[in-house]
Amino acid sequence: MSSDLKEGTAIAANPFAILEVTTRDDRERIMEAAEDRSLTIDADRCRAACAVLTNPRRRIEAELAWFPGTSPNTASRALLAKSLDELDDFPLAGVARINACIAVAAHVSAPSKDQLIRLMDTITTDAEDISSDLLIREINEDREIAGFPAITSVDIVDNALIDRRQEWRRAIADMLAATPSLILVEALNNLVDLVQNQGRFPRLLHEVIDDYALRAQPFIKLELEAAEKVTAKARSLAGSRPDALEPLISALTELLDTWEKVTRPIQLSATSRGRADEESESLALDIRSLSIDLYNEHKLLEISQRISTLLDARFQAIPRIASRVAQDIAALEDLAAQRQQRHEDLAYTANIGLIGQSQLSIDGFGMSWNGEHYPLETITHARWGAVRRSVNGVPTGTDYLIAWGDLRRTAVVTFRNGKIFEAFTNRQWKAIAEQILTRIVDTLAEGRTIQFGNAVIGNDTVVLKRNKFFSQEDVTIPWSEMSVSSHDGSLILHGPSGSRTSCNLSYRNVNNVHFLELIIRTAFKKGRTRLSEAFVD
Amino acid sequence: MAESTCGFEGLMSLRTNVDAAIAAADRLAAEPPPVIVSQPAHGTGSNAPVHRDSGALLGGLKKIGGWVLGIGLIIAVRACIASGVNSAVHTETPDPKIVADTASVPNGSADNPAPPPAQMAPAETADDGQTLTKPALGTAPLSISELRYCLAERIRMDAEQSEMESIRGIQPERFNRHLDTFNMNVNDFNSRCYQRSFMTSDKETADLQIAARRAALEIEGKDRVE
Repeated sequence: MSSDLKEGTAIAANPFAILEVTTRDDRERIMEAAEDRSLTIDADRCRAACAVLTNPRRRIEAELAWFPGTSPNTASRALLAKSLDELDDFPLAGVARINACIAVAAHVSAPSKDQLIRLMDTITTDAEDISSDLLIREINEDREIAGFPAITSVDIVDNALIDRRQEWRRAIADMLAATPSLILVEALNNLVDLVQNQGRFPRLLHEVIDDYALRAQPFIKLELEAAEKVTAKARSLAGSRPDALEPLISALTELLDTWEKVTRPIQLSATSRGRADEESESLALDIRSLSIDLYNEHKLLEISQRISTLLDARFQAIPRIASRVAQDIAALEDLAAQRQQRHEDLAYTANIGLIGQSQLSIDGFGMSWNGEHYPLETITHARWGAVRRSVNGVPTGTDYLIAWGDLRRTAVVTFRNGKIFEAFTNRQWKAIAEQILTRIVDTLAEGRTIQFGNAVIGNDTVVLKRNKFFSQEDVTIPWSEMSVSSHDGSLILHGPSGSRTSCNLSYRNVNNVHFLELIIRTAFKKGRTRLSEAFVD
Repeated sequence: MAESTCGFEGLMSLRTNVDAAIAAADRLAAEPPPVIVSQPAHGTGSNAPVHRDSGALLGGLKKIGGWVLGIGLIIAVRACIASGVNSAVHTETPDPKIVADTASVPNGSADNPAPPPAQMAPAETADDGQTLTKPALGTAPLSISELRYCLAERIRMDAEQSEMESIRGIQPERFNRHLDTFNMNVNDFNSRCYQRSFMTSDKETADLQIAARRAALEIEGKDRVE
């Protein structure tokens, strides 16, 4: 019977196979068989096999690697099986079926996905259900017939089973090593889905996946490095060229697809044991961090949403990550709704002039005048105001002015419709106040000064002009000694009483006076003597 | 050496080639940036309403005061947007013109500012539409509840004045007894409500809210004249 076994396999190396004896053969028959077999195969092997089988303590190893609880006839036929379907014809169970499956696997050079799933499922499931008591009973039945002393201690079997499990684990690893990688990955994924759907996860399968995780480390390490390169590049381009991020997002998508495919069994195994798949969590959190930064630092909402959606779809196996990403997605949806609302709130268009009308407009992207578009984020300054005109004391109307610009250009719009003025300046404030206030406050916090009209605004002090005979002198005054008022279209900065210093800053003619006023008044209201602390709680 | 596609070693063949993607991103970044569509999304052709400059006066610029005993109530309407204080209207006779692309030096000079903290957005506080808050002395813009106080007080004082006028010749003693109090009220009103700025949108809202309470306020004003 052993001549049909594939040399080098575990089953072929079993002493029962070497000597071609059964579990029910007695000591005499075994010794005869050893002599007979030594005529055709290596005599030392035969002697060693004989020594194992005739030693009651060592015999257990061979018995557990054979077909315990199976008749000799069934065992010899099962040994010849070449496929799992053939095995189905035999009444095999437990250890015997596991060993038979491993023997069959030795005949298959490159198992198909289905074969692999079935083999691994059978082996890991049967291994889960082994009963040491039943095993002792089955082995002792054969030993009684063969005339060997019965096993009396469960510990003996349990210790031997530990070694067997290692053998089975190794056998599965060998099977996987011989399988095309894609099939290997798909088979493991399908198997973990199968067992999870059945509400079980055999311990041996966890161990197999641990082996897989260990051997996949070179791949995992490289993918983590690749992800780091992509996220670093994305961060470096996000501020200046968000339009160049597309290839990186595609690469990230591909990387995450592959990562999910390869590591999902690892993730599911870890999660079901209450453990963390640290590499997957680390990757997910790094990419999540990129998603958050792209929004927080660069307001790239759509890209941030895409990345979060990518993570959501690919890390469902890790509830801790899935939950965080779900919260991110909800938050981003909320932000998207707010952004949409802001766009709708800001949207406004007016035609200026009765003849040859020019369009003045604002929305969530920018402000436009006469065909020139100014993206909101580029706008550095703005001013607005109205002048009521009169002739000999008779009102003749009001002229309104709105101006804004970036580092290169300034748009100045004048007209006579108060409703347009009010509607536009209201939206303009909402659109650009934050960025201009921030810019002013940041500049002051850095210790730099900003010239507003004749006043040099600093963080702690303001420099005003004091008139002297035929000249002026600069007077530096701390903000703690200053006061402000608003009168006749100007913000007035007053020096301390008796200092004869003040400065009128026209809202209409001096850039950003409206914003400066808010900063000063807010700082004063909070009792701050540094303007940069105006908005600090 | 050919890469294995079998077993654990073959997993390496599945790794993602990100270098090509990074190179592609670098190539894109090296190209000129895409042209930003210069027209706002809601521009011509959209459903957004288009407003026209017809040369009308600013609706909020109304003299709402001016009565006996020297009360000169001129509330200068300023477009105070959110909590920001904006320009007042002032009377000059400049030569207005429409100028685009004129040179102007921006006051702010910080480049690439960090995103502003959320607390820097103009804050909005909840308003119950009823509360009347006596404004503090000073020049700070009026909140809507302070604005309601000023409008309400104006109605009370109109009624008070009317009541005073009606008893002037008939009950001189009663008139004189109350005159000082009335003048004190006028002074207090002027110091708190005269030439104060407020949001024009608040004014429209407050007008409606106070109009609904006018009858009650008038009774309160008359009742002041004991």
